[in-house]
Amino acid sequence: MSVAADSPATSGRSPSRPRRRFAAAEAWFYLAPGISIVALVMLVPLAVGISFSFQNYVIFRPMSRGWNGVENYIDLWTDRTFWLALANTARWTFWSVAFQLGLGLGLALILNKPFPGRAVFQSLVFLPWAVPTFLSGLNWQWLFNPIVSPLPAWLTAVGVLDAPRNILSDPDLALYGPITAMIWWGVPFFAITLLAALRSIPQDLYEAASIDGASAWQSFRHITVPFLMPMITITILLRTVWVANSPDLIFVMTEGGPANSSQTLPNYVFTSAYKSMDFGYASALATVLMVLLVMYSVLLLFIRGRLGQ
Amino acid sequence: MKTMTGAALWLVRLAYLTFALFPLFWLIRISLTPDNLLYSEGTTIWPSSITLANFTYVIEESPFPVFFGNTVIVSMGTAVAVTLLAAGIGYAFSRFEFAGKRALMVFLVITQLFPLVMVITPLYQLLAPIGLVNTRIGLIVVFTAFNLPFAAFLMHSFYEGIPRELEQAAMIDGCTRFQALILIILPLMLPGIGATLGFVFTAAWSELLFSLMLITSETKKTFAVGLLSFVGKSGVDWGQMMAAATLALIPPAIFFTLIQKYLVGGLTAGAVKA
Amino acid sequence: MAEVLLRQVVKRYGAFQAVHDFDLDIAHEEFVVFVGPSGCGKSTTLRMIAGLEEISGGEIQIGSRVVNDLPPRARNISMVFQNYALYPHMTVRQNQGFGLRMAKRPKEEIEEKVNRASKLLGLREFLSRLPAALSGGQRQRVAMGRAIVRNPDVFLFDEPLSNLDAKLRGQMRTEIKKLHDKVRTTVIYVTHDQVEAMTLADRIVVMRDGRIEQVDTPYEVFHAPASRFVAGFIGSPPMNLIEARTVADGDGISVSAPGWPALPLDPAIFGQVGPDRAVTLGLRPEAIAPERMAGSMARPLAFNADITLVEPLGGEALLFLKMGKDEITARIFRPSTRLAPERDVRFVVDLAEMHLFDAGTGARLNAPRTAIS
Repeated sequence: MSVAADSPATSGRSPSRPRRRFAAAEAWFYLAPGISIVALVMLVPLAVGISFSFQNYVIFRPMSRGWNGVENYIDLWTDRTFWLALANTARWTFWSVAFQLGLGLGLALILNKPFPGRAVFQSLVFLPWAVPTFLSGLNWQWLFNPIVSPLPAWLTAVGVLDAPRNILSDPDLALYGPITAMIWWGVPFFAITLLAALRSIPQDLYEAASIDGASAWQSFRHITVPFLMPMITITILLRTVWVANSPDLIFVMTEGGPANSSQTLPNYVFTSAYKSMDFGYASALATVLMVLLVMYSVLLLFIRGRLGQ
Repeated sequence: MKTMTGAALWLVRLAYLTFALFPLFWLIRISLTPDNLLYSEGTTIWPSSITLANFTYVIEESPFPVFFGNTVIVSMGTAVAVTLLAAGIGYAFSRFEFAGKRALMVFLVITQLFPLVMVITPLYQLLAPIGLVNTRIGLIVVFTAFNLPFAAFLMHSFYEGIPRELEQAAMIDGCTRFQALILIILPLMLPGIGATLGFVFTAAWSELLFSLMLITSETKKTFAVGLLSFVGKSGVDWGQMMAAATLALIPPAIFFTLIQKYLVGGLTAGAVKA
Repeated sequence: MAEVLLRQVVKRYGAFQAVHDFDLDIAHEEFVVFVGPSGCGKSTTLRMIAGLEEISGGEIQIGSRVVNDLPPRARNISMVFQNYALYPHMTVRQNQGFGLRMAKRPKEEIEEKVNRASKLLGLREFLSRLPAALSGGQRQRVAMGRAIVRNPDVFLFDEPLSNLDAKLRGQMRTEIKKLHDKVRTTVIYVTHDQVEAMTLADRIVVMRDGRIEQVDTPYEVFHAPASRFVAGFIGSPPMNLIEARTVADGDGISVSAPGWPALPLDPAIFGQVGPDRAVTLGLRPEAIAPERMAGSMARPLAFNADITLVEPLGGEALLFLKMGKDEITARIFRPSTRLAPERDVRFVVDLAEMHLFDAGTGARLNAPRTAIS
């Protein structure tokens, strides 16, 4: 379809060389501004950041700055907070994404069927996503406070809590505060992408299935799910990475506390960098997080490729 | 049976609506609660009296209107810059074949894996010498880079929904490729442009960490930073803070409500092929 | 004057060659139709002429100008696309006038030309509508109007009728024919529908796998197909193609096929075909009929066969016969009695309508007939 197909095999008598080169140049005319800003603002600092992780780089001790090999990584191996933060990151990401997916899929299915007031309903239930993350953090922090919100009392009434108290100050439960806020905020994103995928399923498939005597559940199982799968995996991938990398809610709601009980890796990176001012160690933490996420993504895409065959 | 499932369905819809809206309701409720009732009537659904005092204070006496203005400038600037650049990238991805195209797309996906907390310091060191630290332009540049990859894929998906024959017809009718883009394609891309603008505006509006690290002077602070410094102070006035928060919610809520259906439509048009 | 010349035109996509050494001279005001199965390279060739695909080798001239390096806008062509490619945000009037607007023609001229084309195509009452508010046939007309208005050197049509239903397609086919009579311009028309090719073309170019199989008038392509492929592609229902051998038969040579009597070859036509050769025998369904319904035939030969199935089509009927392991189609015009499956019916075949192709290469074995009777 494109005018700029490149075919190196072209014989010497091809008279179209200049035009082809021009067409390739034309593509770069559209690409270059955006790509260069991404490269400059993301790629360069990233490389610099990774190089920090191999340095002794503590702001308070400028004299001792210098390369120290993998020392930061060795420190990290024996750092109990790192392992705690790693486990918390897994917990935080898993529960956030799992509930966002489940609730988002439910919402998308609801929105895919017409009912009176659907348009208004849709814009209202999507509203949380428009709420700035830090704001939803502040808001939920407030909601978990038993003095100024009925929520803890309600949670006690349905048996989730033993008494109306603030879960954000309970080391065992603190992480579930930001998780709740994250779920609340992120359900619309799943719903939007899955709704888009649902809309693209050809309706005659359902008609054919119902003529063939398929039940609603069978239609869902054998038509909806397979059609949604590509979109679900890609959305899970994007969101997992995003949630795992996102420090805002925890930063606002618990600052990783009490006593590191809700510390996740991005927050620990932030604390190390801007409270302990140890940029070398913070960069090592961040690099590990990135490597883990890359491995996760490759694995997920590999599994998806396998399932697709 | 039929009415039973119907009723159950309405119950589920109601549950979703409550889950989505109750926190927002509570935000507004607190901003309207007079100071003296904040704790004494903290858990009642609606306070015995309400006041607009918090709002008048925030608008007339606090620095929030300045923060608000800064956030509007930064978010608008980012949204426009990202949409413009994403329109270019999406177009090139959709309409050209060139060496390295796949690699470039993979690169953009990979940028989404970066823990952004990691680049704060290097970025600061990079921007400081060229005078972009503690400026709104600096924030716009940084947010633009962060939001561009996703926006580029979003735009790409919208371009894929427009038949190539349209610009080919235009090129036969006497247009250069660029004229075909401007006269034929872009008018048809309006839903995509709207969706991208709204999406990026919302994202930029809610950014916290980089604003926190890159902006130091009071007059250039964005809303997020302003609100957070509110929390830091001793003797927080919660009512005023919630009033400010309520105001901060209005622009992205309006924007998002306007574009959400295009967002669904655009993703339906192309992205599902992913 | 706008003749179109293609010299050794090649299209490659990486290692895949889509079009091989394409050579063709198209005369001024000629209506040429490229026809072939999907993937045969016909659309690619058209798009290379339009400048929408670059050519990997060779040369294209339009009106004695080499256009290889010219972008589409500089070739003075217009094109009608399969999906019409009407600009959805422009009215019918704006759609038609767009090309002239781009050429910076004065407003009055645009107005006048659009009106003239709209009158010609019966579009005058739709001028201020958007394409979305038009039916398929109307959109098709607007696409043609947009092409005519610019008064180009060459019209290119890329399967313009394939999105229409059968009835409308027939109507539009007639309209395109009439239009070409009124607006004399060189036309290159791509289709996979051989009926469109037969009815519209001055000359048909039959393509297969990126190569030209035959270039000729519709009459010649039908009556003297250059290859087994053309024979099978042109004509509906398709020609019966039967694997056979030539055998010595007294003084002459006959074709022998399982289930058939010996079919003697006319030495005046098949003089150079020797005995004991694997061939494909080609017989059009029109050349076979039950003896009691056969009209006059130049060289009739009788044989017996079972009718296994009858498809009555009103003015004509198709009969399916079992001959050896082949199923043969016969086409009867104005069937006089009701036809039904029947055993051992006496048929005749017109040997003057016989085609022979080499079993290996598929090439036609006799010289193309020149006498048109």
